[in-house]
Amino acid sequence: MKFFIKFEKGLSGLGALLSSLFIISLILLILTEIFSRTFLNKSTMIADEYSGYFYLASVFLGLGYTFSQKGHIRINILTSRLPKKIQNYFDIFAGTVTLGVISFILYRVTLMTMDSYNFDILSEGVSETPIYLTQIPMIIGSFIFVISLMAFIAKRMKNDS
Amino acid sequence: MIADPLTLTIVLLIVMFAFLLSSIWIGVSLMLTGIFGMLIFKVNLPPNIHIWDKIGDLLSSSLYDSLNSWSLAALPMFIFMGELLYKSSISTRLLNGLIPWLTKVPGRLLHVNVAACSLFAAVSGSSAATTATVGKITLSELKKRGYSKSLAIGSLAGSGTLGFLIPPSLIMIIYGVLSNVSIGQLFIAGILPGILLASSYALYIIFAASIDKNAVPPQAEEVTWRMRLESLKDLAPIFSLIILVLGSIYAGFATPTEAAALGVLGSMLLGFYFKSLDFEVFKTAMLNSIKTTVMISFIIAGAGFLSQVVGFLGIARALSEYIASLGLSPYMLMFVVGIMYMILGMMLDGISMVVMTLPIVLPIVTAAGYDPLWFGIFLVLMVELSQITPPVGFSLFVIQSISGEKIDYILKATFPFFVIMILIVVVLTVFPEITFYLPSKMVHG
Repeated sequence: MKFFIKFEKGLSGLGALLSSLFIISLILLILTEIFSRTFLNKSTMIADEYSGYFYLASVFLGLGYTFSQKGHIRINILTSRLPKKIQNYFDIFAGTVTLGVISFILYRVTLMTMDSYNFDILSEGVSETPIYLTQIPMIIGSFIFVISLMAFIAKRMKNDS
Repeated sequence: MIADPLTLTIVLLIVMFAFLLSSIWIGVSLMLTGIFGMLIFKVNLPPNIHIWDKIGDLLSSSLYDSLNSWSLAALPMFIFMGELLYKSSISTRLLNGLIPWLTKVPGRLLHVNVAACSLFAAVSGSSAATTATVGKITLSELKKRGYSKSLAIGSLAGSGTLGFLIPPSLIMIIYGVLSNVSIGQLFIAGILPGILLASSYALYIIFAASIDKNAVPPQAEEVTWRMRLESLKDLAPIFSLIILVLGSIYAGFATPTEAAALGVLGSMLLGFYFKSLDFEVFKTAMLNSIKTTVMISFIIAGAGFLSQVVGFLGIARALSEYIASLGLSPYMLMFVVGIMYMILGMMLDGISMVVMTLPIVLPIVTAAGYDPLWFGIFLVLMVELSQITPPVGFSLFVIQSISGEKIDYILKATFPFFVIMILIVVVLTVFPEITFYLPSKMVHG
């Protein structure tokens, strides 16, 4: 149990690091585009397309970190008035339902990525990037989110006993 | 199994609020509602496709499509820019730079919140960031100098919400993406309504200070013209950032996404220049930006899936036709929509409110003859109202944590500014020209 909590912390931290790297790359890419267009009169041709990929990747890779830092918002105007023990039950319920949804997403984005790979789908932009490469961060990110959710449920279960 | 779209709408609304109120995270609640809708509606599928396959396809592709967006890529950059500025000395400089200019105006330094928020809103994309950055300095300073606490708090709550109306604005980026309205035009359209709102706040402060003689300390600050000129040095950084970000959009030099990257570069250069930026600050700012970006984007993704379902099940069309059959006048319709948003705004944060309702509301209001650009500004004002309405109002939470006052006191102090905001909504509805004037003068939209 202790090991698992530690594992989750490391993994979501790694996700946050990767997410930061994607945001930094996004900023650098767009600045490169602006400067090369202004001073060299030449576009990078890929800035529009890749900024979408980088943003998508940074969001998915940060899902677990944001969750374990209590960054995702929810409405607790009703539940916060309940006794602590009942609130704990609500948390376990919410966590389990969410785990179900995110596991389903993990499974389906994996299928989607495999399809893109098997059918050799390329992007419509000039770069002709293989689409599966842009979908891999979705798999990794959803996986980290699943682990973070498990750690959340485990902690709440322990509170209960 | 339900076949009638209107019945289905009511069932889905109930289900959605049940999920939301049982404290399931908002993005997940939206996805669950979409899944539930697919399951209870009589969907006609070919026999070889299972309903869960259809749901899975729709879910994974809408997650990919709604977040693989070059326009939304502006969100993390504007958020990061705000975080960098929050950690910099810019709020102290704003205060020092503005004080010498306010000493002769009736109500004196009570105007500092309005002035500082209006300027800071022009480089910040969110109301919470504007309220926090300006409020962390001004509230204690005004208290120390003996100004009315209630007017200080109320004006901070009111003008902090300018963060969404005066561009850049996170809400406008999201609205632009969802409604296919040019984000650059939305940004520029927000400027005049923003200035109008800020001036109305200033007029109210003058009025309130003339009624309550204790609102302003008797001893006036001594200011010379030399001090005023020196204060320009403190205001220079914020003005150069405004010119960099808004000027580049207005002149047609940069798209909003590019302006965001320029803004990050500008705030980092300022951070180096003022020696407020080191690795630790950079790291904290980055991690905070990730949290905010992911939180917002996850809700956008959930709403993206739900709106796919809503379209797939024919709910949006059925509801628009139903509303059209009621034969409401355009003003009456906008009144009903406004009331609906105010009720929603009590429970939801602004972004969730926009992404959840837009797929249904936008077709209805455009069918009634409203321009989507104008409705964007209307919606931003609705979001601003939701920031200061209890029990869930983000600006209220921020002010509560800065000032340490009770929420009842903050609400009472905020109320006049809330009323002013509603009056401005009415004015903009009756005179939509205010919204359209600047966008029509842009270099190109």
